[in-house]
Amino acid sequence: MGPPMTRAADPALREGSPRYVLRGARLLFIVVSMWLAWTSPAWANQPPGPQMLLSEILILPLMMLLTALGGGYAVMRAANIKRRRWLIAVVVVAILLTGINEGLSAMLMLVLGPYVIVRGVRLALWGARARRPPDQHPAYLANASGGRLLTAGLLTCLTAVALVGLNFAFVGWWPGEYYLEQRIKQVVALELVNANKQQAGDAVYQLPELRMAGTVYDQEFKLGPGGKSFQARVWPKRMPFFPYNYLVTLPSFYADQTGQLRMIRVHKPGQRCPPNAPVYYRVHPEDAQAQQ
Amino acid sequence: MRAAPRVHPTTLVAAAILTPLILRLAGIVPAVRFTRERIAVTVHADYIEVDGLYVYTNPLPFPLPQGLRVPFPTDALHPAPASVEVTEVEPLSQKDSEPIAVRWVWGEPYFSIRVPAFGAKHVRVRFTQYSPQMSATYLLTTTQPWGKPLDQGEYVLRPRGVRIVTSNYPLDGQGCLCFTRRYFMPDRDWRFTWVLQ
Repeated sequence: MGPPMTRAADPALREGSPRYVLRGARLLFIVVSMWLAWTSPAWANQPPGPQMLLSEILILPLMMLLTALGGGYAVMRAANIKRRRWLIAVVVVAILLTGINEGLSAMLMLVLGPYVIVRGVRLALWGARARRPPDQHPAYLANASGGRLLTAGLLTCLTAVALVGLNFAFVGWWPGEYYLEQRIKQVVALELVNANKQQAGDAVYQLPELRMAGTVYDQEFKLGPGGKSFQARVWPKRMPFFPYNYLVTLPSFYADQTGQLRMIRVHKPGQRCPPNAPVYYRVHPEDAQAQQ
Repeated sequence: MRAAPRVHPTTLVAAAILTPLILRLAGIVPAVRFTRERIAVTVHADYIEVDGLYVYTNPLPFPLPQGLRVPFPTDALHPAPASVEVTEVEPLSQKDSEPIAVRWVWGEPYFSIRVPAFGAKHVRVRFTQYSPQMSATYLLTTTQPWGKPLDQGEYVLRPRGVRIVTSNYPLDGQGCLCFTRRYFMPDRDWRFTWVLQ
């Protein structure tokens, strides 16, 4: 069913124009979702905030926004394609149910991602057809803008891939740096305590018996000449795949016989902390008894 | 004359139901209530150890996920911790039950919890902050975004080889360097200083 005849008189409200398609509740849904996803409220100390639900919250509103901006809804009406308005309610309920578990969230994204990609491909194909001469494309593309549809379709596909990737980049990614940090403090403290047990001025450091690194981190422990000094480095060797590694950071540590722990936060695996990085902690003898 | 835009009634109903749901899901409007906290700060010569126990309750008849983050008061003399430990806590024994995954997103640690229907979740957050200038701050005003005061807040200082010199909240608890507040909506953060004993 087409729009009321009175709209035809207003060029701004013609089929396919953004004002026509971005209206009412759909506009509200899209705008609220965008705002939720991108605003970062200045709430501190354990405030509520979106985390892993980001990609699930964003994927459908972005698809709707791009479909609207590309004039896709007008084409769907002209082609008499039935729209599934209830789908939004189903997706929100699904987010509620799957939001309690990252694995379930990923499974939901495996359903939503292809759905959005299909929409994007459809928009792009319509756009490609609409760019042909008028006598070579279907009647429902008579008023469509081929460039807009094509652009919106490609952007929709890219968006879907990016958001599904975002979800999968972080599922199960738990570097556990707190336990690593305790281990580093313990190793350095043991080195200092054992060296202090020796005669003053004759301290000799030895290779540590404890490993500092786990599966996510790598380590290096170097003794200076005669064991009179040491350098310990621990750095991440696994990060979420590109480009999602730029969303998160992991600490990269440096310690030596001064007992000072230095740390930088890095995005890429293999980045080692330099010896002149900021000091963030000084190891104490009691750190040798740290609980693991 | 322009006709009013036509909106399908189903869309309106869906938007009316879904918008508040999305607001809560995204955590902008807190889905759960932040009702209680017990903060113990062990003060050493050049660093503090913060052990915070936080209680979140769910007034709704279905379980709710809630994303949370942990910012720190940092400046040149108070660098951010390298890591935080977050664990679930058994409500009765107050012992740690299982660790919660923490991810540092855009420089701050984030984690998520699931609060059972009509239930509560007890969460412990631990971190160490270097404080070589013998002063520290614990953020209290961050209760304000939750919109409701804490039912109860307990705040304890445990000096280790140091003497507490100042605290902008009077340490008027009995038998401890502590204070307790009921129906507490903090208007300032907790600052304290110390000297070596």
